[in-house]
Amino acid sequence: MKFSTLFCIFIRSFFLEIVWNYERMQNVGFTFSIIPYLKKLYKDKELLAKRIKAHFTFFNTHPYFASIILGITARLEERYSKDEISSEEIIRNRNMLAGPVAAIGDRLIWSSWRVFCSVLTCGYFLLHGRNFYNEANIWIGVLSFLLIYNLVGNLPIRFLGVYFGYNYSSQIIEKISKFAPQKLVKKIRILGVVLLLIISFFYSISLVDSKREVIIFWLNLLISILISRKFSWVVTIIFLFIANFLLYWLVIR
Amino acid sequence: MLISFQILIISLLAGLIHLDILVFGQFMISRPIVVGGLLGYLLGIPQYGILIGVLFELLYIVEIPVGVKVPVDATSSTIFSIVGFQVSKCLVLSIVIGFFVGFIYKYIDIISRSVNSIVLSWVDTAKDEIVIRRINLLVLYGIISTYLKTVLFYLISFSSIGFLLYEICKFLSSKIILDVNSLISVLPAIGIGICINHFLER
Repeated sequence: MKFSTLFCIFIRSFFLEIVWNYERMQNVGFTFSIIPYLKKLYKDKELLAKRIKAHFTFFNTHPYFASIILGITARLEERYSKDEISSEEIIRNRNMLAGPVAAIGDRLIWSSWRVFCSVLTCGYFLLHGRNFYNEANIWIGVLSFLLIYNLVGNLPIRFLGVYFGYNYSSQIIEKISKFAPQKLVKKIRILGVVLLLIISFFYSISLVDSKREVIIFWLNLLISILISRKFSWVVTIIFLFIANFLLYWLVIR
Repeated sequence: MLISFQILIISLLAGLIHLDILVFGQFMISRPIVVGGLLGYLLGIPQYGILIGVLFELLYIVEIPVGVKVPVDATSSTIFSIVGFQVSKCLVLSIVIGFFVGFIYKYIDIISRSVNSIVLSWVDTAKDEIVIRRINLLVLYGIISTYLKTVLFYLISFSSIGFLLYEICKFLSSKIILDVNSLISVLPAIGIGICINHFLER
């Protein structure tokens, strides 16, 4: 695959979730992303349209890691053009990979990396104390969040995903398991908890001029950990919002 | 109070920010912490923008779009709260109402995703020579429909819920508003607690 085609698929992969629908989910984005390669491969318009429609079927995975499947599918299409495999095999392979790839992406990116980056940025602000909104540099916080998140997570995964997916094809899963995403997730999460405790400690120190607020802060933290273990985050927030309102209005006032 | 021209400009900008969620890239420009800083700066209240941004970032930190789940919309909560604060000067009430605006947007998003299924037939029924053009058209439809839906949502919510918020805050005495606003310093604890629990889960 030429670099220009790879780059074109990479750019188009940003549209992967466009027209997301309950019937076929990411089919529009996936087909739109792979069109440049199909156009290079099939000069016959009828065959090209047939291949495009074959990809316009159900597809759903993690939007960043979908690049790996785009690369693998491009390689499979190449084999199809040489009559080595059938169209059904391509679609079966594509859909079979979508599940495990989504599981890795959801756990590594959505559930760990994105949350960790948010913690890091909120930490930057909260470590400035209770008046963080006056004291912290807003742009340093916001821009470092965007840069760290995208330069370490989003962009390399999307770009290298197409490259490795195309070059390693079905061996990619083996390569990913060598990279041990589960261990990485565990490390990110442990580091996240440590960071959150440090942030809470230093932030609560900034509240010491009102000891009552320090107590309420730690009470809120402990209760939210306990409630969110049993109930959803929405229930936890609503319960603690109401409890805090009542505490302020009925007791403290 | 914000004039209608400003409301229109904010709605148009919010439409662009929302494109980040599903339409293009998922660069996280739509995260509360980014939106808070940006919108606060544009409205001349950068401190309150980032304060609301940090709070919503923490409150919505574990809301993740896994599989087919449509998450509660943190972006609309943040935008509404900042504009609500600019209108009413009542911080906590803006945050509380903004929190629920995220749920309203979520249900609008679910409806629009269902509508998206209908337009797929444009490609299914297309002749061979126009298939690529139809797919490009679908992509264009995705961009325009998401943008217009969001702009319309903000125009309606700013003028209806925003007006309600303004009236409630006018009714409340400044003493009560000041008391409630002092809650702010302990609110990050809720998000931190939820996040610690999220990280500790297997």
